[in-house]
Amino acid sequence: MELIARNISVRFGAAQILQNVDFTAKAGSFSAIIGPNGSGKTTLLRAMTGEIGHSGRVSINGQDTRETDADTLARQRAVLAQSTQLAFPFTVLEVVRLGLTAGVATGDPTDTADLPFKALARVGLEGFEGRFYAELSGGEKQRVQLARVLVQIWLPVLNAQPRWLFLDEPVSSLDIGHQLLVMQIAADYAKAGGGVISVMHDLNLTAMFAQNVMLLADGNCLASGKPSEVLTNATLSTAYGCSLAIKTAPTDGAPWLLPHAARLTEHRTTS
Amino acid sequence: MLTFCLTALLVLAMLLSLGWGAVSDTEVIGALLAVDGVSVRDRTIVWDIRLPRVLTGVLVGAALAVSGAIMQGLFRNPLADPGLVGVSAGAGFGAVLAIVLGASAPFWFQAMMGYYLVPLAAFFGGWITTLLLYSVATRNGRTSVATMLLAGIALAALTGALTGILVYYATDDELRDLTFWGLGSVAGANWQKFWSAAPLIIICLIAAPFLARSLNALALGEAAAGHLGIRVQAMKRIAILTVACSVGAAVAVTGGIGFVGIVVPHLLRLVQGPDHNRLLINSALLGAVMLLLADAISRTVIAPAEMPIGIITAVIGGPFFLWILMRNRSLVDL
Repeated sequence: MELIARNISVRFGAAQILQNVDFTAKAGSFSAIIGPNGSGKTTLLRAMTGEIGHSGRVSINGQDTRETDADTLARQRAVLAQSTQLAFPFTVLEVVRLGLTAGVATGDPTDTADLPFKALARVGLEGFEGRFYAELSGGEKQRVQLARVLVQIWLPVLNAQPRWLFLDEPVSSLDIGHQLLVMQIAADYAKAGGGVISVMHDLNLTAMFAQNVMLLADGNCLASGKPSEVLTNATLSTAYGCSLAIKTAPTDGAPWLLPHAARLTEHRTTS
Repeated sequence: MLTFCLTALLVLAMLLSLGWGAVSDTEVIGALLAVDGVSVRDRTIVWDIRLPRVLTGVLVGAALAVSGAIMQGLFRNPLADPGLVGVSAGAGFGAVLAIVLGASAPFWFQAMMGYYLVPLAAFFGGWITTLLLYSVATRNGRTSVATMLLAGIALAALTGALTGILVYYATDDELRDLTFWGLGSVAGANWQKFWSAAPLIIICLIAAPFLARSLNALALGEAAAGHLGIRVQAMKRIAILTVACSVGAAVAVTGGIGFVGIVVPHLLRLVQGPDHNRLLINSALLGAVMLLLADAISRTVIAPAEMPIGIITAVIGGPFFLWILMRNRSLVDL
């Protein structure tokens, strides 16, 4: 089972944000979308979740998303945005329960009441149920939203159909411990058979957790494949405008970027 | 929830015993239950004067409070209120248009529309205003509060001016209708007016709880609500129709009664939280209670004369609104 996006193009007015981008993600794996600021990562994610208008086709588990109704899609995939502004003073538990809007996520009606608590425990926010969302720190808010998203598609596989987790820079407001926690949750979701598609900024976390990486630059796909194939000095320096020292991590053999050895390439320093 | 049901019933009984003629509680109950021995005069007072007034108050209070709660959910902001952002003014313009031009409409048209002409015209006025407001104030699912309030001022000024122009074309009879109506009062309520507005308001009150789930999800923003399985565009259209319908019908019967739609949902959110499943139903109940209380005050402060109820709600609601603004300054930062 796969998520397939073909020929995705997005324009905002005169600006062409994405040009004929193809993207494929397999269920049971963690796929990362990386690229410099303004390269179109978030736009690609939003196009694939149907949030913005685009040309091209997106299919999830073989079904065209444009021909799938909102309720069915909501049981197939969940989306975590970069940040979420909440309008009214809801409590943490009420926010997490919103994940059940489209119905029970597990197919088992008996555990509906438990699910939000389980999800909050999973993201390390046990005991936060009664707190007001607005009073939490940025990182805590982001984890509450992750719990809400997890509740929506709790089981990675339902009725032999994988479910899909879309994450837009899920760790950008988190400390390093919580970064690892959130990445581990996403990786476990993929390991259990679900599909994870995440926009990432941190290249080392990408190298640690992703099985597939696509590098975007200026709305085009610059490289795609395994982390060891994409995270090379040649491709990264072209995309990011700086040269990097890339080693192999002694722990797992994944690429390991040393920021200390990073240098801006010439066209960056002069411009 | 039960508390509010009981309060509403209590206030209903209190109101029946209040007011002009000397009718006691037992006589009120006797008249309602059609017990023998209640005079015709008392029966008329209770059945034909007070009951339609009280029921109109209940429906209008519920309609205004629920529309306020829906608009606030839709605009994702506790400051949205049909009265503040020009929806009531738009509905008022529709109503005045119907009062002034309705008499010169073809006879078959008048016969077909009957007493529904004014409420329907008010509904269309409110609807168009709400649509305009939403399209001006909301971009990509985000409502700018500053734009919403400023657009509301512009729309209220525009519809107010158009209403003013129409007044020049009104005959003396129509002018009396308009003046009375413009004060914002339930004093003119009778069965005929009640039944002209009741169906529209009741449909909206029944429809409102079905919006609760969507309005809760919408608190996360339009995109997130869509990902949760809400058909956001369809839901927005229904919400706007519901607001226009109930505000239109309410304004057609009682004129512009302000602040009920902002005070009631805000108080309830402080007590029970922002969950729309409870908020919409409780708003209807508390809105009815508040309007009946305001009506009771309006009848008694300068008795035997009556003060327009709009003055009472503004005297209570104005300072309350300022208090909300002071507590949540960040809401209106430009």
